[in-house]
Amino acid sequence: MNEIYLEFDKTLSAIAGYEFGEEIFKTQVMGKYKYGEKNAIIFPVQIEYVAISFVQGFLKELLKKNGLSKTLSEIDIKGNENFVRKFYKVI
Amino acid sequence: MNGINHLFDIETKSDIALKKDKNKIIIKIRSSNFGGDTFYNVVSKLYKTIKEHNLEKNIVILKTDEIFFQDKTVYILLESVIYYICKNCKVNIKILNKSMQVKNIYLANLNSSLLASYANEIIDKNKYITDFEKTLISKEKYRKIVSCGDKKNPSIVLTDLTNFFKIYKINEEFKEELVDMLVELIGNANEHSKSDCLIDLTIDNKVINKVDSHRCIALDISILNFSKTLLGDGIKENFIKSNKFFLNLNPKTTYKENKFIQDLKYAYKNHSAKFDEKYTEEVFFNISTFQWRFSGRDEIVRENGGTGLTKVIEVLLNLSEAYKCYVYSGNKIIYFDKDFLKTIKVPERDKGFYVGFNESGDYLNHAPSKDIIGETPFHLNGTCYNFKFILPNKTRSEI
Repeated sequence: MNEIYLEFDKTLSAIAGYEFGEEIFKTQVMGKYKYGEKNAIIFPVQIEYVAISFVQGFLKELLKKNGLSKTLSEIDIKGNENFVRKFYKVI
Repeated sequence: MNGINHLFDIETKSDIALKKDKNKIIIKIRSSNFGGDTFYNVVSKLYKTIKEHNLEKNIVILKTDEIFFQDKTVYILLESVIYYICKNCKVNIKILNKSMQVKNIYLANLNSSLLASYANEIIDKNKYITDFEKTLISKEKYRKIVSCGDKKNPSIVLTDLTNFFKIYKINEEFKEELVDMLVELIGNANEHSKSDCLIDLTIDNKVINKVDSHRCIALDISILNFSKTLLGDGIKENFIKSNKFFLNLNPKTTYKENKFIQDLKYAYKNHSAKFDEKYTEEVFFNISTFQWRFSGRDEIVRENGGTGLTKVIEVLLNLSEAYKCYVYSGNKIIYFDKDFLKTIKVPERDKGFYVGFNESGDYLNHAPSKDIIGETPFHLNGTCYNFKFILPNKTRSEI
């Protein structure tokens, strides 16, 4: 499985914002993502909460290219338990 | 605060007589009950004063005895008007006042508020501007102007608010839904209106219910931004763009329109027959912003719109003992009332709900109830949300 580790400012325990989601995808995921394969995207455990706006911005490119069901089959979001629950809840 | 200039970019009453005594312009606030009408009268007089007497030697005096604001948002709007004057006008300003309170559901003291602390003296403009813009975080208060310039700001607010609520004995579901909603509203203001957003949240855990003497927690939240972009404008733009696109489309082309645009058009067809003075097209687009997956963004991506804030608001109202919640944009107010937040599952989808703002919950086929629509004479360039919740003060074991 293709593994992509993400980094955030250490002061943040929660992430939000459409534009911030877009930026993180572009700067930390886009160049490493392998379409047609399984991609584990690993958020640091310090991030406990996520807002829907971040998820929308983060997934925008994938949804445009793949649609929802293919995107869901290609990604495996990992990190803090509460964070992962919330990420999938808001998709 | 970026966008504040739009607060005074308005049409006000024209038949106003100002009372001027040498260099003093006295604006007497006669009604102690300070709501939308009083606010409009005061702003109209301030507007005229600025137009006709904007000189450094002049002092405009807002004279009141006791003020009971109808809710905290009206108070914050007045605070913002004074901020605008301090920032942009030559005229000086003074508020003569004995006491300020918010009288709604329960009586909340405003003695430590910004306006009260500047009462009965000529306002030091620079100091007032600094205090207005300052971030305040304490056990009872969270106030911040969230700038639209930094993409990381919604994350900082989400981090702050999750930490802020940790010490309070409030239902965990309520906390999570509330914080999510507040951050989304701030993000929407930043992103869609390209304007800064003020959040002012106060919490009081010593409120006593007079009926049976149990302790409650009162939450008072205002979120506002000033912008020419009103609440429903993004959705309306997408609606117009889609109609233009289809006019120019080759009739032989097969094109599958986004589900939300299809449903928006279907609802518009049914609702437009019901438009009148109260239920206007503007209100239609306002209530449409709260529907599942409806998006006001320029770029529409399938399956990637909002999940509909009204479902969240319904959860919050159901967990509250009492509430007063609304959104105000332009001249229109939409009240969030439990009785009219019924939802119906989105047709042809596995999940998602549409909210009717009516008794049936049917957004697609029926107009909203007139009871949820309010009007106010002051045209607000921007959007503000007022959330007041009274919650049971739970012990740890009950949470």
